[in-house]
Amino acid sequence: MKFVVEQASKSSGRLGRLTGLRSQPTTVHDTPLSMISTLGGSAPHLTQDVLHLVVDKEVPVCFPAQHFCDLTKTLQKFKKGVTHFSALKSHSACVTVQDATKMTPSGYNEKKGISVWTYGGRQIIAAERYMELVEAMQPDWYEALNDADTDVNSSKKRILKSVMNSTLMLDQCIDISKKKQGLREAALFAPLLGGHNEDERKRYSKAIIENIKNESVLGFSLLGLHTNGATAEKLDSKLISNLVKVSLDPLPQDLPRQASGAWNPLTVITLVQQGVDIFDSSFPYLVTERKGALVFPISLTKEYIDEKFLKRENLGHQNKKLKSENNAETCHEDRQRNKDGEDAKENIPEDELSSAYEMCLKGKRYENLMFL
Amino acid sequence: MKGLLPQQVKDAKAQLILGNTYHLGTRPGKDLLNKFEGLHNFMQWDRALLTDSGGFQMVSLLELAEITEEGVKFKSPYDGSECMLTPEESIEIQNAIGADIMMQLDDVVDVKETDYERFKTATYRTTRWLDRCMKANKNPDRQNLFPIIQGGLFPDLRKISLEQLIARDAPGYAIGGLSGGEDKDKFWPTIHLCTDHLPKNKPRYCMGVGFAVDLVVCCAMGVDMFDCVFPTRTARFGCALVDNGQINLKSREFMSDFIPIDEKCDCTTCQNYTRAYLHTIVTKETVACHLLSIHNIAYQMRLMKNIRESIKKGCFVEFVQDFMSTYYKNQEYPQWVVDCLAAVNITLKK
Repeated sequence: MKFVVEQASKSSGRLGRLTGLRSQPTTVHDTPLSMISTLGGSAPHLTQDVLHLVVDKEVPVCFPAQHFCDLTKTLQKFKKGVTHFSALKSHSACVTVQDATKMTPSGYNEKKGISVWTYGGRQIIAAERYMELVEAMQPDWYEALNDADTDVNSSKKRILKSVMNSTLMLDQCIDISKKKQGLREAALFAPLLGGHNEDERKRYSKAIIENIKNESVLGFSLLGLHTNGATAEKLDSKLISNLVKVSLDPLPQDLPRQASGAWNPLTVITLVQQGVDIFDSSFPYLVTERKGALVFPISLTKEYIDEKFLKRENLGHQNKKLKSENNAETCHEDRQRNKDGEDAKENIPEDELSSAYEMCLKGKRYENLMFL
Repeated sequence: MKGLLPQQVKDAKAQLILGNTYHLGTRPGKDLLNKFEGLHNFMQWDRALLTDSGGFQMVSLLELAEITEEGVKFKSPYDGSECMLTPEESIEIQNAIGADIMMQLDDVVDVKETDYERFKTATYRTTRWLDRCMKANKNPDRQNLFPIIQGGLFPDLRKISLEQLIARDAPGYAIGGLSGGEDKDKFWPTIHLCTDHLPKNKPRYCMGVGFAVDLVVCCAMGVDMFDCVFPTRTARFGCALVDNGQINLKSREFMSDFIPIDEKCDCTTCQNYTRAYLHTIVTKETVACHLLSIHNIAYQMRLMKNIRESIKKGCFVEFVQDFMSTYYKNQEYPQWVVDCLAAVNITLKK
């Protein structure tokens, strides 16, 4: 794997090129980029032909190892790696430990291994077994096994444990990667950890510098800020900005940085500004699952929708129906309207998820809006 | 089609797809369908559409359905209120949907019911409801209304139904009231009776038939059209249709089976995916259901195409013989298949 930063500035992030991948020796990937997140080896709900109606055939795909824990032997027999196995052979592949689309339950990691949730339930996976699986998956790059079970509420003790476990696992993974022929051409990404503690993050990043010098590590994966699923989306970008900065500052510029997770678009922009190069598509997935459609630009959308609502209310009909529907199915736009408007009835559960970036297509809200 | 884009349904070479009047009438509802000038436009489907009457869903899905001369009375599953689906209402919804072929509302009786009188009432009532449906149809020029032959498994009632409905001069005819778990020995003579009497120059549509063997047998008896949820339903359970029946991809035997479901199949699933991969995701990821639906629909469409081609080439008999000997290992044919095919002068290979 080769990574070149073409242009970098303090305020506007960096443009780069990812090339020389073992699966796509001649393909150039421009960064910042988003990988396609997968569940069980497929983009959620999308067969290969439909996926290719939406994205380029060469776009990198992210395969969480947790979906493949029971398939090491199958993949070894198959011999051609996870992209061929999943019918996505034109794509390049990244392997992460955890599935960024689902919240990882907290409190299950041990010194001897990391808990992952497979289709069959929880399994504890140690470096040896993890690396055997990675070798069989044949990715272009992969995360070292890590304990990233930290978030904004984690205690200092938990953070230290996460750092200690992960440091040990990183060393083990590096050792194994040197011994395994099948991993020679796969780039190992070191996790960047330290929870929401600036000092620990800085210390951790500095501690792994040695591995960079001897070229054991060819990239980084920003972890430990959230525990996947919607926990990433809810993070305030201002809150994590400095944490990201201290993690990335000690690192050389010429290696790629990945940040998997369902960051909301504003956080993605913040992360790009901080110098992150690689993301995944778990945010679109979460929005899809709650029947939302992402809409840009955001300001226009809100005006657009409000205007349509006004028109409808002026017409008079459906008005009652609309009000009676201010229940669990109601989402952001209505909530805003309620807060601003005269109708103060507020019975929406606070924790119900939605965001300013989407329109919720559930319920009857849009059934009479007949336009494209 | 669950999990498939209209384009994928087209790619599977589907010519005509079926919409459920009951479901479409509930959501999006006839007002919205009218505003969109029909379902073709609403779902961006530019091929033919057929709708059922909605009666079958009422009787099969709703516990509290009650059939009166006026129509089918039922409790709305949404708000518990009492509703009535009359022949007129069914046609009004179907007119809003704008299907190319519509079905009359019929009095559906569970085929396993034994009361002759109940079938007799249903047979005559179906004719009366047909008259009301025909009168209610606002678009007879572009929406073809098919009567539905009733009469359960009773030949005399089937004959009455045939006589009365054929007298109404419809663009095509459906054979209803079957495929409800009846004995195959009763099923095929009923179809045979109907196809014997139905006009030769109009399409005959056998409702709810979709197992490969049944399709081949019914074609041999002169049926032209079928509909069935079987290919997509079995896909949801992880099953793929193949020439000798179906395989369940959940089975561990496919764990390291790196070939497609069917090496001769040209569907996108067989072109790209192995049995081993499908084994890892069936009944776990929705994609597996989509992939199997694509294959199963392609299988069904190809089966019908092969039937048409063999008829064109004048070798349908050979086609049936080959199909059956592949389908049934060691030529162990069920007796009803042998009997039925013998009735249309096809002798199976031993």
